[in-house]
Amino acid sequence: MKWGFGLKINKSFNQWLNRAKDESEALKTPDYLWQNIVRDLEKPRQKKSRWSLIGGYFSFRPKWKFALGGLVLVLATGLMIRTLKTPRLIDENQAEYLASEINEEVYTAQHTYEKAISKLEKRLQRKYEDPDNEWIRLSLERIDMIDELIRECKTSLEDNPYNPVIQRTLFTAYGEKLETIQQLLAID
Amino acid sequence: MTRPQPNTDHQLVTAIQQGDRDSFRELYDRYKDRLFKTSLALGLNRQDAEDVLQESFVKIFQKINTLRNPDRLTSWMYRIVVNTAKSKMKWHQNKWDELNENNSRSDRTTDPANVNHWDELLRALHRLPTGFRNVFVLHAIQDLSQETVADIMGISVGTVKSQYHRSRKKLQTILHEMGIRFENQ
Repeated sequence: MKWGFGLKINKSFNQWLNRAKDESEALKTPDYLWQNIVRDLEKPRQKKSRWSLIGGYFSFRPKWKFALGGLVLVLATGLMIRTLKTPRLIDENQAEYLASEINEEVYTAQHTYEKAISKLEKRLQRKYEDPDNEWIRLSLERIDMIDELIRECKTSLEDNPYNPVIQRTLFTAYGEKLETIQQLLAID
Repeated sequence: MTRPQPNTDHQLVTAIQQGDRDSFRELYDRYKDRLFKTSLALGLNRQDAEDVLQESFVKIFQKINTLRNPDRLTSWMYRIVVNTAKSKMKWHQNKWDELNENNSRSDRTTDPANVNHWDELLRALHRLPTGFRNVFVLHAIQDLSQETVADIMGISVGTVKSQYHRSRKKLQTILHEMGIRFENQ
């Protein structure tokens, strides 16, 4: 009895849906749309510059502007405090010994970071082959900028392998990159 | 002697990839109404649906060279429309209720008596969760296969099946709450 009733409802629903679909046949795309498409296609495509990225920030809604501004401020202050609080090594021999120890750790940590990032980056590339969201595009541009910073740090470390400031900048950059990728991957 | 007009989607894609604007026009004429209806059913008002369609076709032309398998044209185009519509919706998220309200009022393109079922369907669809709505629109309204819907949405066929059945049930409940009775029709 119940089954029969369910089938009847389904059949009626299908009929109702078909009527709705038939009615939707009356919907027509306006003629001017093609002209608009042609006009858009004839516009020269502009490559986004760094300045337009900054412009993108200003197109955010106020709460996001505020949040992003706050985040930058907190990161900058944190970095400054950490840099100022770094203990200075006095003994030259001791400094060199510690530096070589740290350097070993730096290479290990660098390797670990790069391994983790490389895995996530592959997933990210698959997910956002063609981003059409402004925030995602900005985040991807941000990753590119971090990559540039990482490259610079690595080059500087070749000349000054024990420089703690460069090392710290490098790991901050790795951390930032990892966090940005994780945020992008978390988006549905 | 005039060259024969391309007919299949595959031929159209090849011609467009070579820069043939006439073939692009043919593609537009072939798909515009279907994609427009999809944009409306996904929850956009008429103005936004037009914007999404315009933006999508511009993207389609600009990116058609990246389409390696022309047989997947349909799902590729639908994916572009669905993603563009999603971006549009996110942009308007804070005005979502207002949009839905406008939608139900402003989408009557012909005599309201003739589009009654369609209007009711749109109103009911807006009350479905986005994922369910997308699956239902593509499979039940656009008559795309479950495999194609899975391809468009980037989900498994099993998920499409379960979401479709759940959305269908939920839609029936919503329509029932709206006072629509099927058994009497």
